[in-house]
Amino acid sequence: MTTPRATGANLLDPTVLARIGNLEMRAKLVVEGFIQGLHRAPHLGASTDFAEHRPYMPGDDVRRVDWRVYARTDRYYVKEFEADTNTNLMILLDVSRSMSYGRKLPYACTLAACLAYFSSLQRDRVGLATFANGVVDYVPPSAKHLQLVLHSLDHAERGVPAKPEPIATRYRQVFQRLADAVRRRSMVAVISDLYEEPDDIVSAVNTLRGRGNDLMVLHVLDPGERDFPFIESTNFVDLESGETMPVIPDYLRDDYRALVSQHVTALTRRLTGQGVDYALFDTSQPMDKALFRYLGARRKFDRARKAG
Amino acid sequence: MGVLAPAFFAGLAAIAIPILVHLIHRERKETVAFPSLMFLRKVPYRSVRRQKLRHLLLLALRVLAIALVVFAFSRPFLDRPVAPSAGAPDGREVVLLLDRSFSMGYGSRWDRAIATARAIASEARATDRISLVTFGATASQLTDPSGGAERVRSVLSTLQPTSEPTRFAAGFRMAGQILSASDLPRKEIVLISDFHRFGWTPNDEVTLPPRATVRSVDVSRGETEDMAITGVAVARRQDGSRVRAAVTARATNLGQRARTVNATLELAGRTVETKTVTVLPRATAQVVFTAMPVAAAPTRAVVRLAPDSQPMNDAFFFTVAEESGASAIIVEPPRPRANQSLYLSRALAVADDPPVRVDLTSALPAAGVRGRSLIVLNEADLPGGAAGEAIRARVTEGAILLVVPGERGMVGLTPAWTDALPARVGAMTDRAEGGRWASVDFSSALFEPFAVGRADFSSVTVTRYRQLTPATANAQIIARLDDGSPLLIDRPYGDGRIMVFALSLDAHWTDLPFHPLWVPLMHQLARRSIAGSEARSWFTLPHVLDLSREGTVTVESPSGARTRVAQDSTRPMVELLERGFYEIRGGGTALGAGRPVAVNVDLAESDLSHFDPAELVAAITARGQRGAVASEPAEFTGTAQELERRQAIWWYLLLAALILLGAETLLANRLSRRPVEQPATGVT
Repeated sequence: MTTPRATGANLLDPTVLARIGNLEMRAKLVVEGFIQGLHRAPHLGASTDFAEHRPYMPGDDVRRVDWRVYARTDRYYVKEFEADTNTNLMILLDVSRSMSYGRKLPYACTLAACLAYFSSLQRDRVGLATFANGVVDYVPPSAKHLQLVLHSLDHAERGVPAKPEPIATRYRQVFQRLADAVRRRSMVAVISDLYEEPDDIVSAVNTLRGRGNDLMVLHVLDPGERDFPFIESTNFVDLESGETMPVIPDYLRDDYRALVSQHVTALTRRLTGQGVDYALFDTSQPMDKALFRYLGARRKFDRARKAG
Repeated sequence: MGVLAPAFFAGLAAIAIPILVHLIHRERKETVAFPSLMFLRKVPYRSVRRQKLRHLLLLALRVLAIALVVFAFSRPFLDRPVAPSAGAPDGREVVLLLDRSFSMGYGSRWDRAIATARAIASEARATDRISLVTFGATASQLTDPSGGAERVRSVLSTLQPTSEPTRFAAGFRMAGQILSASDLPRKEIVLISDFHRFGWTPNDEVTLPPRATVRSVDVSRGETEDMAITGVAVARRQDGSRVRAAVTARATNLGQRARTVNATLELAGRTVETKTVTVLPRATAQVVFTAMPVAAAPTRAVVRLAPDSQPMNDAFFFTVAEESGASAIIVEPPRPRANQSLYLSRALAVADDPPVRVDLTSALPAAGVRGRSLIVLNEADLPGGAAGEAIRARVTEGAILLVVPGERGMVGLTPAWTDALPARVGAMTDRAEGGRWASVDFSSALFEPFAVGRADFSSVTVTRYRQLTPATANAQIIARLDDGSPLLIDRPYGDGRIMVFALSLDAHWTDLPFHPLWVPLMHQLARRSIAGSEARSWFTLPHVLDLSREGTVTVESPSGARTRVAQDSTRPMVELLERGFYEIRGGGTALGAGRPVAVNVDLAESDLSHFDPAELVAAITARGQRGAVASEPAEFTGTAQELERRQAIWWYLLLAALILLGAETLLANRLSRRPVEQPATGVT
């Protein structure tokens, strides 16, 4: 998948962003840089769109009477606007131990913050759930919860909560629980490294789609996970299960890369086939692609809602 | 090509290490934290195994380096003589002096000695001459210098340690003769030995030719653990019509820790009794066996321990027979006083434990001392010539000689007698008032039985005595007069003793013959005279056995070698050089029915004391300077380390291994470089 690189993408470079400690500042830089690249107005999707006319009913605010229609038709009609055009954006962020590898977690947190910030600019309601083998933190969607979301992301970025056992991801159980919590139809962005079989992931994601939510799956991987650049033979320990395995990288590298590639291909095919927007993010790549994804998804979401 | 230390080839097993490293490839103990092993677990294991042995060049370098190091440590040497280098002086005359004493049989000393001798023989160049001389108590030249190194090596493979003790002087004398006869410019002795401390005495005379070089190779390794039977004593007693003998063996622990061992007594080839004894470190314990009936004829007896590192001293051979009693000869002057020997002969004649046969004579021929255990020169002339030699020889074998100067003094005193007698005899001294025996030495064997109850010799009155002065270092005054004058001086002489008595043996100068202690004292003298004969139950190597009274006999050694000794031969004797039982058979004696003669190793050789080879070489050097033949100081050119240094192949092998390891390092570094960099994170 190729993504057009926006102007000002230097501000979106992860290595530059990594030097900015404040998460909000980071998100703002990314989003505004992205917007400048689009040459669009900053207030997209304003909720002033006309919807329809309906006959005046006693009790209606007289200020909403369309006097031009009255002049032509001599009848009172009231203008109906799409007063409720705001959207729920629910960000589900994986903070399991596997996300602590390389720069994945800071990257994912920045990505989530950008989405939240971008969404907030459009007056959408934004919520956040961080999860591992269970829900770690939950901020319900609200137009006023941007700071809470950023605070939670900042907390998650500082480190996975210390627990005695390695934290493994349990997608199905977590998503089932979050699907119950998100009662309103929403856009759901899942940010994770997706270390589970594609069938299990699709099955888990489907639990979120059941309520008409629109899904984005943002697959975050470190270059080390994709390229397997290790040289020395040594013991590899699984960050999630704690299992140890002697590995001779020279002998495994090709097979490993092929398996990762197969995994990504399978996820792309299966999720896309299910109508889920899937994108793979390398932590060495800028995150404007994610914002394009969000924008595209929101439009699609709006159209679908209107059609519905 | 040979190797000095083939045991190091076990180190080739270390080659498995790099192979395992290449198979397992676990070069680091650190672990790498990784998000998930999900994909790694899916990689088929078969494909890993198939590719395990990679970097074959690196593996080959490592394996070859280890093999070279192992080969170097095994100390290879070339069998073929090394070609002389240009400008080197012409040939050497090398005498390989190999110690074959029985202490060389301890542990692996002999193997080391043979390996070293082979290596030295291999060092010989084409222009060198090398001969092999082995020595124990005596030395033998086993190969001629013209035989070359190949002959030396072939003879070495047939050699074993002997039963003889170490006598370095014998070996050096023979080596000196060989070197003296050589016309080669360089002369060298290579001494391979365990350097037993008792193998060299300051009195040994050795003279080496000028410019002789002595190299020493010490094959001992500080061994200390050993058990030995160091002697036996046989106590006989009459039991009805039979004689029973109780054997007591002395077990000595030469090691540093206490040992519990089984000691077995064998009689006529059959095991009679086994006893268990615990011996403390550096101590001796007695093993007392139950008394057993013995035959009149000598019977073979052995006390054995379980064989240990030094089996030569684990068995003690001796013979047991009924005691035949003592035999005394009293020699009187040509005109004796009346009853001059009466009291002595009567006192001895009445003895029954043991019975004493007493003969009286005024002229003692050489043959007259044969078989005598007690010889008394009662104011008789000191026999000269053959008779004198016979008396001294008999004493050496264990008899007692009692010399009484009396009125006549020392008539016939020769230098040989002066050396042998323990006292110089002075003038007669009168004690008109009557002197008294003031003291006797109860620790001496003669007076020991009288220590119980402190027998009173002070009542013996002395009216005249001869003044005596101890003449030898080992002379001991064992009885004194009240004025301190010696009355009886005693010294050991060979296996026997010589005593000089200051009084007369009759009532002329003393009332001793009338004293109650007279008869017991004479009986003790007779008993002491045969005590030494028990030692004749065995001989100690090396020993020359006189067969002049045996007639024509055949002597069969423990190893089965037979020697015929004719009575009319000039030297009717046989040299005992093997431990065990020799058998002496007359013409009509059946095999196995001859007279057994037990021979044991020199127990001094059992002592594991060791001395510095440099001391020996320095002693020989100093002696050479003083010798009649002008001899340049022999130079001490080194020990085993120096010898090993000459086998230079190992050095080159190590150098090659070092070069290989350097190449391995370069190659390994090069292989370690990868275009993909290791991530900065993720390593715990």
